[in-house]
Amino acid sequence: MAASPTVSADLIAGLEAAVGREACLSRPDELFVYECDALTLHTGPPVAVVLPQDTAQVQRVVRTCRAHGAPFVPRGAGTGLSGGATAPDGAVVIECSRMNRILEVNAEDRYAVVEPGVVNARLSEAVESLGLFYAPDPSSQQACTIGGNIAENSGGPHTLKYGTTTNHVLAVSLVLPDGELLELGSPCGWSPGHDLVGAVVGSEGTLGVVTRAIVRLTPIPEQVETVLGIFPDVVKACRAVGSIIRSGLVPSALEILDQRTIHAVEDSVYAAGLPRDAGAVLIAELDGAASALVPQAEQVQRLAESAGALRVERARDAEERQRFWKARKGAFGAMGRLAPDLYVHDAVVPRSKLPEVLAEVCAIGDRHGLTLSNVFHAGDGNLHPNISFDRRDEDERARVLLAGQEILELCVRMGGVITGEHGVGTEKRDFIGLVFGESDLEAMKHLRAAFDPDRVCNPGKIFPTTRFCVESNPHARGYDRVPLG
Amino acid sequence: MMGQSASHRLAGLENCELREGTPLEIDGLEIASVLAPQSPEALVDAILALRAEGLAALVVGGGNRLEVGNLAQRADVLLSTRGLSGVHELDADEGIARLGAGTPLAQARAAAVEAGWELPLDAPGPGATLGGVLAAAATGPRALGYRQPRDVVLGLDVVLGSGDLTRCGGRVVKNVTGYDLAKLYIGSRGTLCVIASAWIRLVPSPQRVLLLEASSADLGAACRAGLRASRFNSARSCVVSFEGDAEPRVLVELAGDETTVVNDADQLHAELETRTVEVAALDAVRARSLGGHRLAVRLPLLPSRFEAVVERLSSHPCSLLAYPGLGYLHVALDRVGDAPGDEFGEGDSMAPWFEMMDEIAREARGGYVVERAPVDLKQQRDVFSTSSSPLPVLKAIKQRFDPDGVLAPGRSAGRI
Ligand SMILES: Cc1cc2nc3c(=O)[nH]c(=O)nc-3n(C[C@H](O)[C@H](O)[C@H](O)COP(=O)(O)OP(=O)(O)OC[C@H]3O[C@@H](n4cnc5c(N)ncnc54)[C@H](O)[C@@H]3O)c2cc1C
Ligand SMILES: Cc1cc2nc3c(=O)[nH]c(=O)nc-3n(C[C@H](O)[C@H](O)[C@H](O)COP(=O)(O)OP(=O)(O)OC[C@H]3O[C@@H](n4cnc5c(N)ncnc54)[C@H](O)[C@@H]3O)c2cc1C
Repeated sequence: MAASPTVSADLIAGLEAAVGREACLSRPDELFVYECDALTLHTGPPVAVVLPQDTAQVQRVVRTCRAHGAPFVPRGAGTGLSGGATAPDGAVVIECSRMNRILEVNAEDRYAVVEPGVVNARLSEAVESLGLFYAPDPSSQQACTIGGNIAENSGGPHTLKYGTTTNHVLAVSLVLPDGELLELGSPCGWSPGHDLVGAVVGSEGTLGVVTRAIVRLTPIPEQVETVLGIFPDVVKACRAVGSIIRSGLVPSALEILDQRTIHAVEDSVYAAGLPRDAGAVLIAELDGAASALVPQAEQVQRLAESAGALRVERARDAEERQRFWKARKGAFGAMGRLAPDLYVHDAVVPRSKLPEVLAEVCAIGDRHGLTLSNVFHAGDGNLHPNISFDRRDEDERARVLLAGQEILELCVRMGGVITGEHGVGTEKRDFIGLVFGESDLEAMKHLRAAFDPDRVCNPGKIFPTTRFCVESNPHARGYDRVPLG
Repeated sequence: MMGQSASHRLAGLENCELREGTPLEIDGLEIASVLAPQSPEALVDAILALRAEGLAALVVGGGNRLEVGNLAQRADVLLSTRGLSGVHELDADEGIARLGAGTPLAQARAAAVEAGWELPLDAPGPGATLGGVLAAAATGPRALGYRQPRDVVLGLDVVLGSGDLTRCGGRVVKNVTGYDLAKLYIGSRGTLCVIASAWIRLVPSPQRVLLLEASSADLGAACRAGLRASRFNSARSCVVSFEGDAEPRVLVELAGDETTVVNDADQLHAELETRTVEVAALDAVRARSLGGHRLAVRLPLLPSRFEAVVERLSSHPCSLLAYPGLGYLHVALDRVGDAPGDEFGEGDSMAPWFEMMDEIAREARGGYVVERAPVDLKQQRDVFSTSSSPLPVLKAIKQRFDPDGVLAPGRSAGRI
């Protein structure tokens, strides 16, 4: 790569000309907050941050970066958990937070045209009065942006029924790494030739900068029933999930919180009155036609009881339901109380393997003397083992990384994968080889090359690095030669 | 045509049948040789051999829809997936299955039902294969409930035009490990890769399935009714059909739990005076209205545009099959008007009709696919009505995934 780590005054001047001086940050104190995303384990300061207001400005920024040989990184709210928005050496961060307008809402045809910086929850709020919502609901939805969601193909508790971001994106405008604008898809789902919208969603900001998106809106369900199963341990809660899936019911969400998470939540502002003596709680939600929901909720209750639930409760009203969800979605925040840093892990296993995997995950945490808690999308088999730690403690940091690796290896052994919704980023680039072989990665590189032949758009993500390759094979050459943060 | 030495080379491939049969005519090309690898590894060898010999292949599954696509620049052999069939794994606890691409959809559906699940892919024509449906991103009428093929595939094993056997996705129901290449392959119609097998997410079998039919005096009202019906909780399919002089018909398939289906049926009956008909009628109407016409077009549309568009189109003698909930319309015709000389394909007689279609597509902010047309018409236009914006990227993709143009060069969008 041609990027030079020394900041060129010409580059900064060019960026200022592209977006205006006040929208270009380059002083170290201004750049400090852009050193990482929500994965604090990896850091790397950018050489500059620009805050464009529209597509034309993004194009100008990209062309300026190219002219100066600087790589660039699109960024939304920086809530990513895999280091996706963290800058590699010499990179310019293109923050999309000022492109935050909802440009059009079409209630009849159920879509919205949005800029990438629109915060996820704001879109649902904006269309609520029309009886619609934007279905992907990451727990970070009060902060994260649609652009970030598209890049990560983000999910959320209700992914189980409604699918992930990819099921809700109809079109994108993408500024390519040469500054050209590519229009893909259309509100009616038309895309001639290959499904390039589908290829861009989940590409972790490595194919270009999304500057506009057309997303599907979903009708708010007629009625919702929320069941809370209280279990003596997490393994029994997982068994209940297995029998609910097998029964043919399609709940909209099946979420589990283990005891450590319950305690953290109950000690925090997110307290919802969850029972502290429970080993785990299962939140099962059903939605749809009112007439069908009561029997379905009763069936869930029976299945939970036969899997060993101590008791099963139903949310009495919308307010109580909101409280359960506030507890669930606030769980990561609540864990901030346990230690200065939190490593939110993300992996997937076949749902039927959850009980044994969970037991083993806890054993890994214990073996390394770590505080590990679990709050996860059980219906999708999507684990989030969370490790509380202090990054200033070198030894603990090393144990955290080792435990993380063992968890990934375990999940892959069980037929799973290394990430279900947070992406590979820098965090897992050196573990992608656990899941995919040389030729599989080669095919991904073909796609990358078709969009970004010079690898200037968010380099150093997804693909294994030289350092990793060199460690395992000193003669190997990595794909993106970018040092780890 | 293949030379002697190429023929000899292909005949010598291990675990791969080579058959010479009655030539199959596709878009004026006659292809007599059928190569049928019996394993993914044999498929790799076959593609490498084709590459080495400078030959091009047309991938064939059940052969129901080989005509969809631009004119192939070359096609020396048919590459059949029938040796890649079988239910490799069906996990009834998980509700997932891994199936060979050559598996007839009917067989795959039966296997799922036996395990207490349902395969969320429609069985369209006779003998349609899983690989064919995925490669064509074929949306059957039940996609309203099943969703699109892209939404039900968890992972794919494919052999690229380069000859590399590669995998994407996996067997779990949620996965963002690396690029979502399955999206790129689904709908690529055998121009980037040959799909060898797929992991599919099954759906619970519905407790109850009901097909309701309503007639309507005018097409606009039928479309309105169809859209309304599509938005019922248990609507799995909703088709509005209009064939020549017959009255427009609305067919609504409801599927799901007993209570919801029965309630929805009652309400639909009250609103549209529906009657219950045999479930098989849904497949029959589709087959009948699209079969045999010389020109067939698939037009994606926003729900709100249906009424105006079908009214405009119905002034021409055509069959229309509208999926207002799914957002697309099939148009099939043999002539543009009732006057003598209105048969299409004669010189420029179709030009005004296509101008009208282009205008409709522009208003809809989309395009359309000419799924069936005579060769001379295909020579004149890109059947995918590709805009110029994605062309460089589409070309670069073809170049990377199929560097020597082994897989149906010229057939893809933009004649790539
Ligand atoms: C407390 C907490 C809870 C979370 N819960 C969930 C959850 O339930 N489900 C889930 O899936 N994730 C969750 N996440 C992870 C994170 O919120 C998501 O990945 C989110 O989509 C990131 O959005 P962002 O705007 O913060 O993007 P960033 O973190 O800023 O960026 C993420 C990636 O997107 C790229 N990107 C951003 N904008 C663009 C653009 N315009 N064009 C191209 N690429 C772009 C970046 O380059 C980067 O690779 C959680 C995170 C936190 C901190
Ligand atoms: C009565 C009838 C109704 C139909 N209705 C619909 C409909 O409503 N909607 C719709 O979308 N389609 C419809 N179709 C079209 C048809 O069902 C689909 O196109 C389906 O792909 C046919 O499967 P096949 O196995 O016969 O594929 P083929 O016709 O053999 O192949 C279809 C395309 O896919 C490619 N291909 C096949 N197998 C593979 C593979 N394994 N890997 C890569 N490429 C491959 C071929 O090269 C070709 O381009 C209908 C067909 C019939 C006969």
